[in-house]
Amino acid sequence: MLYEVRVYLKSGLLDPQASVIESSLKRLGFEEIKQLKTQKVFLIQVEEETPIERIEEMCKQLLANPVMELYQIHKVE
Amino acid sequence: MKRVGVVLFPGTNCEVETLRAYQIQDRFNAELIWHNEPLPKGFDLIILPGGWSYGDTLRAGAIARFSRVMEGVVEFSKQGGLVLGICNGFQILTEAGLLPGALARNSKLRFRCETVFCKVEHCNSPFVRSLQGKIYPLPIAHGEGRFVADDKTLERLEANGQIALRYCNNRGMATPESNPNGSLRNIAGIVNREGNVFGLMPHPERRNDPLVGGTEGADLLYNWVMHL
Repeated sequence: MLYEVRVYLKSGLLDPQASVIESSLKRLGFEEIKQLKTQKVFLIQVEEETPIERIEEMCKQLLANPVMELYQIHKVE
Repeated sequence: MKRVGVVLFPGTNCEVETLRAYQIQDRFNAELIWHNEPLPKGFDLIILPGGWSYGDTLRAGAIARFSRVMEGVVEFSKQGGLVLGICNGFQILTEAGLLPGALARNSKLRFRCETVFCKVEHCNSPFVRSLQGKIYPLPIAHGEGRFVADDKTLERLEANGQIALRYCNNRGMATPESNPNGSLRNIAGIVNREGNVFGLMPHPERRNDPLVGGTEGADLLYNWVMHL
């Protein structure tokens, strides 16, 4: 069983990495970009029948910092 | 004789100057504490020093907070014990929930290693009590020092007098230009509600000898002794 966890900064929080990448892409001519954001992606292989709540616990306890980050969990397979 | 414990995590690199800051004075007995052991009893102050605990994996301080010693540090702080987190130590304290907010990557993505001015705010903590209004030149060295918190938390910090230090210019004004990392409201250091846990990004232990440019860090290292 494979879960994908995406961790990203809350909106409104400055993402300096994204700003640098965005301005670099624009310098390369990709002026159509309206907004670029970065995310961390974790692919977590777990035992079959592992409920999504277990993955949620992982996010709460370690993978995301609730002060500045949000997370999304997707079941991949 | 006051007993000071300095916690050593894998990747800590400021333990020598932190220990020395206390060992050079007769009134302190300072010793190292290994991260993988329960917190020994009998300390007056526990310090989480600067460095790159666990290589800053995931987020600075995110892994160190699960060290065995941290269970004891949390317990010690809940009983009113004094805890000081410097730089990476501050990051660990926020990750552990002992201090509010978080420390994000510096606004310009730049590792800032320089001397900046910081001003002591009105804050009723033994670490800074009676130092209000003082302006210190202090070294900083960090890539993830931008203090962030939601508006409600920031208002609470202001209202409770939990903001201990702000980045400022040499006249004590907290201007945008004097803010090295984009910290909200120029925050350089905060305390918990009770005032016994103090976290700051600057390194007072690196400004504690005329040989390294000055001794202005001493107040922030020793002030608590007079207010125990």
